[in-house]
Amino acid sequence: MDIGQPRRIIEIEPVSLPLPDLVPEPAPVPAAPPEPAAPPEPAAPPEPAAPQEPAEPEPVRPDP
Amino acid sequence: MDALRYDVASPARTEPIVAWRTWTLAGSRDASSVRLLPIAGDGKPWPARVPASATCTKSRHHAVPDLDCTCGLHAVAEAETLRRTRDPAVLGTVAIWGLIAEHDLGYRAAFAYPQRVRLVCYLCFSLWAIHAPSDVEVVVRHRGGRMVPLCGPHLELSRRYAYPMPTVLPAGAVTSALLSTYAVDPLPRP
Repeated sequence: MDIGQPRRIIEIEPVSLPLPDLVPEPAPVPAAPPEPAAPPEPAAPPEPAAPQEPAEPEPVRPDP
Repeated sequence: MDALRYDVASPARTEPIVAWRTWTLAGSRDASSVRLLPIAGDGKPWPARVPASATCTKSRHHAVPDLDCTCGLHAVAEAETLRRTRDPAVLGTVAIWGLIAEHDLGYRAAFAYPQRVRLVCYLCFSLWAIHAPSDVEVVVRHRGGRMVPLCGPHLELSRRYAYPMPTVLPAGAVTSALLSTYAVDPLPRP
């Protein structure tokens, strides 16, 4: 490449480098972290105990 | 060194100079990987996505480039000056910055990065420089990786005269790989 005779030295300090706006290469996808354990569901309030039916009185056998 | 020839004391420019240059090209068999290489010099590929930086193979004792040396990344001010380039594969504009040796017809720079590039048929380029009448149609890849773009008429001529063509790749694929490798834009035809 013929560029002729040298003249002088200059210096250029660019404010920003003339490089393309780079989209970073996609990084390797790391292994998915373990999903956080689901928060424990609040304990269901104890169901109110069903009212006990009164025991049926056993029939009284008449004494022979 | 003549102090008058150093102009680094003047206020530093903040915009890079955009100049012209040519490269050769090398790449993989499937054109998925390509690299620009200097026409002459150390033959090291131009790095992709980081600036090329000049070193001096003759002396480690002066700044690069030095006015009395030939070191630095070469570029010319006018594309027409490149007409006599030997077997170019890629023509393009290049931003140069850092210390720069200014010459009558071009520059030698400390840092550079391509801006716009286009494949060129080296046979057309030797005849018409940047005003080649035909587009590049294929890229011949030789053993070792060197890539030679050819236009349609010169592809036919090469076939007629049995020019060795181990692998023939579509120019579009090589252009795409080149543009994406260096993340640059295509150089439009004049």
